[in-house]
Amino acid sequence: MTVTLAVVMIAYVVVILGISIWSSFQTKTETDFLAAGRSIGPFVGGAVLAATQISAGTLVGTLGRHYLAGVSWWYIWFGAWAGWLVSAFFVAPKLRRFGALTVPDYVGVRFGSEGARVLAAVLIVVSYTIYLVAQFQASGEIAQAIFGISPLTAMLILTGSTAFYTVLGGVRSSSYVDFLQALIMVAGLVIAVPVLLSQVGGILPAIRFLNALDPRLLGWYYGPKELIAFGATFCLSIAAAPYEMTRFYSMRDERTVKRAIAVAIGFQVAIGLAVLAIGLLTRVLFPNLASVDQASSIMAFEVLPPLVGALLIVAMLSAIMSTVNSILLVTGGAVAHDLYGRFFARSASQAHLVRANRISIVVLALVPVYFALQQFGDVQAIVVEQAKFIASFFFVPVVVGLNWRRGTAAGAIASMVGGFGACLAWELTGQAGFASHGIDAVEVGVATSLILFVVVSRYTKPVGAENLEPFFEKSG
Amino acid sequence: MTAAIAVLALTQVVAVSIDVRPDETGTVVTANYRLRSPNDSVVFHAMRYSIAPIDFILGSYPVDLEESSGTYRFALPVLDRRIIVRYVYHVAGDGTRIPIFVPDQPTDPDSTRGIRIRVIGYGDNVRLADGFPRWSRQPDGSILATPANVPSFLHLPRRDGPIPASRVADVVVIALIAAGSGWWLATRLRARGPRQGTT
Repeated sequence: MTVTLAVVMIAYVVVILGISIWSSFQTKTETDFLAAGRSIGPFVGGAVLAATQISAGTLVGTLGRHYLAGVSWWYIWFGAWAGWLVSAFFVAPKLRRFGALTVPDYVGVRFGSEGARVLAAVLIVVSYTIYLVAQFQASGEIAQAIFGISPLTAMLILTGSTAFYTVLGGVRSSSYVDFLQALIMVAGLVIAVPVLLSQVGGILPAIRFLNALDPRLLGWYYGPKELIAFGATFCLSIAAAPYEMTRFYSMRDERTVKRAIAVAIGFQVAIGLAVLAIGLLTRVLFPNLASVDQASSIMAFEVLPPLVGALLIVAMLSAIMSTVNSILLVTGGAVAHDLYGRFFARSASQAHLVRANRISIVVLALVPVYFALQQFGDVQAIVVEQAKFIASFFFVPVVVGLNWRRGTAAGAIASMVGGFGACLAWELTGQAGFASHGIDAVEVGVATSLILFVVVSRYTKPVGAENLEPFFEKSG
Repeated sequence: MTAAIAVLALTQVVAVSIDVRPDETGTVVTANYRLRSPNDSVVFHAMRYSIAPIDFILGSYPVDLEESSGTYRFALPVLDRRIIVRYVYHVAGDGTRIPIFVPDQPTDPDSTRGIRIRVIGYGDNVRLADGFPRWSRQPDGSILATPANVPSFLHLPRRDGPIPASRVADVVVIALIAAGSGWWLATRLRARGPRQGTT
């Protein structure tokens, strides 16, 4: 197994290096770096969207949740897909038509406010640093379970390699690497299911064992209120996720964006079903793991045949890397393009801006390593937390802002600050438990954000027609 | 959910040693567990296959074995924090699947490879890749597995029979890589062909 894994990993690294070096020769301007020259088609684009969303949260965290809680966690996928549909119809086409480079670009132009742009950039950096913590923590879990190396070493290797190919080729290299990673993930997961079923002896013995172990595994481990809250978290955060929205900018046109979203949902259905089956079957094989986050790596290393196991381990690392690089592009862009480029280097050359993006990416990749070593919670819990914050401050300014002309800069700022603050206050005051009241922080955050956006916008000066023009049809 | 994670982390399996000996009527399993537990009892579960019933079990503590359609289960009262316990049981059937009792607590992460499962006298010429957990052949003719966690059953490798799913899966992976590389090469070659005024 070790030799096979080493060979597969070396082959994988060589391919990624090749793509990155090729991409670096195609990257001359900031548009090349942050939007791949707007050249990505629907199939690659769809795979990229899927790979970006399928992160450690899915292959380590979600699989671990299925191991722990069984089938009911699967229903939150409907929330994610609802988020994609909201994005496909109400967000993505307008953003692609606008054709900016970063999400704060949209905020700045739509609301005609540099203050709103800066606020969006800062909140994105803060929230996505939390997301990176989850990815790095997952890499530590995998490395410890499989390679026996320390989490810190694993995180530094992952950070170094991901930052390398992101820095070298920007969105172009990360798009083609993500495409490859999506294919590896689907292949590894889908092939693993029949192998595990064959080891267990078929579906019926597995169902009987799980039912006897804990009937909730095949029934309702989570209640409707919890599932609605989790589903809403994913729906609201995906509909307005900056790291997905940035990818829309790199696609050819609006039609490509819609088709890419359909392709992404197809990839996710396959991956979601496979992850559910693998989580449950791993519980049958090893009913009491010390950490649910180790379910995926233990299954890959100790159960699957060497080649499939190696493929799945590479798929897990790919999932982490594809998400990390997307986040780094967004946070790096927020710092270099929206903060540094706007306020400190207005007349900088394209080469200077590309260099600023690269430096930001390296610095922002190192910060979450410290927090990941503190192990604040299991991987899925951290992913859910960041999704709550993203939804709370970004859903309303993006989805409502793109579809309601009356939204103003003051409304957007109040909405972002209020949504983020309400979500944070709900979490910090110990309101996170579902059982006592059934209202989650994300619902409080988004509701606060929406109320503030509507009320403050109503009482403040409307945004000028030139700011609205890129996003709305001219009213007759 | 948080409570479930906490329970999983409370107590630990320190070491497990299991010897499996196939005989004319089935398989004899001798299992030794060393556990650490602050709880009042430890519950053991094993996968139950209708083709591999447990027909008797003896232990260093009395066992009240409960059977359901999916599992065998018994509870062990805990008198001291450190528990050393031994069970011997017989599994009827052809011996390809052997139920193993898993304590309701995880393995101590510090006792790396503290679990040893050995199948004695199983003979040569078995296809090790077919079984679960991952087996390796030993110089004395036995086969050995050292998983990081206690499995709920053993799937002993066979000498013959249909091509196993694990072998098919490896072939599918190789075929996919070959097909993917071929597709990529074909698109590259097509891209290098004569251009016809595309924008």
